Amino acid sequence: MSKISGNVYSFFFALCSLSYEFIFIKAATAIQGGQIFKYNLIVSLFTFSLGVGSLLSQKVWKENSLTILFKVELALFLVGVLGPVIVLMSHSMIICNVLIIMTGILSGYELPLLFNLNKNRDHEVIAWDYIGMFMASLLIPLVTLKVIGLGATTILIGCLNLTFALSLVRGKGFIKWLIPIPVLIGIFFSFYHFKINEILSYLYLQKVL
Amino acid sequence: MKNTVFLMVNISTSLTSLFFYLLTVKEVSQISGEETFFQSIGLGLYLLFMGIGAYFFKVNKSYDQNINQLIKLEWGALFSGATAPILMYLYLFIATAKGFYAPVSPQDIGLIPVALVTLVTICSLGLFTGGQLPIFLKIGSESKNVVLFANYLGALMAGPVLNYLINLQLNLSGMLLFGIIVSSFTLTSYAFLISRFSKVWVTILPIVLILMTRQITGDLVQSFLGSYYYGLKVKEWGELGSLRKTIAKVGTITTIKSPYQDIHLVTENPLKNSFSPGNFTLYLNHKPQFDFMSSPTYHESMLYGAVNLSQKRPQKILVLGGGDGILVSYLLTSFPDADLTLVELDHEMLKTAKEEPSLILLNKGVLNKKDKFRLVIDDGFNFLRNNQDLYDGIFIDFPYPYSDELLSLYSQEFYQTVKARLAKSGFIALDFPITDKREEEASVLAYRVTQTLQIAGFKALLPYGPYSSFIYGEVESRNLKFNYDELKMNLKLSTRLNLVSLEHLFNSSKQKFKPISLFYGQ
Repeated sequence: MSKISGNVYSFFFALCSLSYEFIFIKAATAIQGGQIFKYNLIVSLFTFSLGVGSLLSQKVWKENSLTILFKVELALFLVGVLGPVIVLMSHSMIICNVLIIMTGILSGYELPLLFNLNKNRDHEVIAWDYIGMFMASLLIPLVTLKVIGLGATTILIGCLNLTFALSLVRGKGFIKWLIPIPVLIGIFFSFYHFKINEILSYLYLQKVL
Repeated sequence: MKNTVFLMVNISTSLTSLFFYLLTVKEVSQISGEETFFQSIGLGLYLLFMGIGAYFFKVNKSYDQNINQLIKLEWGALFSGATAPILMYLYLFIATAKGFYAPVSPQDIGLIPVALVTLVTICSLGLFTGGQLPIFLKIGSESKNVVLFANYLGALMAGPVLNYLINLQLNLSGMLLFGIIVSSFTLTSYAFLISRFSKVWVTILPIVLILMTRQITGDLVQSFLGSYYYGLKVKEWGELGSLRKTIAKVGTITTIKSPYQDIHLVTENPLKNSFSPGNFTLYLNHKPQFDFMSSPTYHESMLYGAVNLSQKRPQKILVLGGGDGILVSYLLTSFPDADLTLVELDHEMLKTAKEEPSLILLNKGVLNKKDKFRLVIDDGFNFLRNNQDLYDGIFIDFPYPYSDELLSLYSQEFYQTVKARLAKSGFIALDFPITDKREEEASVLAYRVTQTLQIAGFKALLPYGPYSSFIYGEVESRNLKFNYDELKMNLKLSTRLNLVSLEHLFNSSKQKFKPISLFYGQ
């Protein structure tokens, strides 16, 4: 992996991972309130799961890091996009906590795999990882959740995640032709966010009403 | 033995660091109402500076040098974490006492300086914490997995421990003491790890901080509260120290910590040689709810205004919020045969309302008469989701939406849920946030609440009350107006003056505002 692409992947994967955490905090607060309590618990769970993920990743085959990273990001995309919907439909904090742990574990895989792919540049990878998390903390709760709402933010981050995941394996056959699709979907729902949020509101109220 | 101590230290280090971080964010979020802002930016900065710390602080080759480095880093983290909330209250006290501004609520306080104070300390906490993990990995290089796991285990414990201490209603001083004591254990363990108990002087800083916390924190918070609630100011810097004695003469401030909010009961003593009778005010998270003088007008307006507009006597009534019990006492007096349910989340609020003499005077001890109504301790939204009963009248007595969390109780989804629990031709009456913020902001929020109710399906709406404002709503479209002939004769004059429609302020606006929603953007 080249130096620039390594840093870019590190930045965007970290941004997406922490974004999912903020999205889950928002979803958890919607089903049960108590934002401060939820925040304390979710931050602790997520941090712990990151650690578990990085421990589990020690077992991966180093020569296959690119494929495994792609699979991890694909799984993260699915959990991150479908997870909030499942939480809102189930109204269950147990399910929410399980999904947060899954997200944390998958996110924890990222850094060791990126280390394998970017030899002797651990410091740079870590630095861009932390910058990505910092940008997520500014953009997601303070900008996207306030401007385009929960549903559209989830789709936007999911599409960003999927775009970079596909670009990891773009050399393989037709995959490079798929890359623009999540980009376009993400842009579309950023502008036409009302409908997706309306759907989320409807799904949430289905359980209630 | 040393390995075990090393692992314990690893756990305690990450526990205290994240604990102090979460505690600081909790305090500043509660006082500002800006939970989302401080939670998000605080976490980002904490993580960023952890990365910088991991990069900046070098790992030494020798074991003893690394332990000494860890001691310094733990000192730095402890000092940053323990002083962050104290510095915040110090700033707030000086700002209010010196009269930099005259706050009505903490939202009038310059939040940027508060943010700067707390965020800078969060950054330094992250910096010192970040420097520790590479050293732990160096020392425990033969079992890095275990070192990492222990570190993350400590982080896992921090959130639940803080939540547990919040549930125990520890004040700030108590929580800081917990963190400092755990950090003392860490520092003492370092002395053990290098087998030099002469190094026990490393515990000097924690001892100093313990003493400082015990002596200063409580006084500082009380001084800030006194200056804030009573509006006491000083002209000279030298007078700051004696302000506390002045505060004690003006009245008393009782603080009750609940898991959900800070409850302050503020009494003002009657002034000698004056007609001022004194007063009592209830504050929740530093926001005024009612006082002794305004309480009758507020509660009478809410109840009798709504019943007058509905032109019916409700038989099955639900009260959401209002854990002070005052609205319930009015309801029981006016509708003794009605099926009445009170839903309140905060059991500490209920306990205070049962035991505090000033509140008992207002609610006539109704919360101790459990056979007269049904009391449910639950989140209002949760209760409505799980309960299928239909009500003739739903009174929603929540605090104004000062925070993101409270805003969710004014959301479209909440009102749709309320609507689903209304009987045919039932009504709702809720506190209308029109008068408590700066004028230009109040109008936008009031419009948004009105339009949110309309979108949720309430076709008949009437805002009323120029002094204590409410909004009355029904699902079916109807022309709503007060029938003044049917008002009770013994209502206070201030209530009668308050039962005036505010329709003219809202109907003329053609501007569309975004509804308040759990999911839509703002």
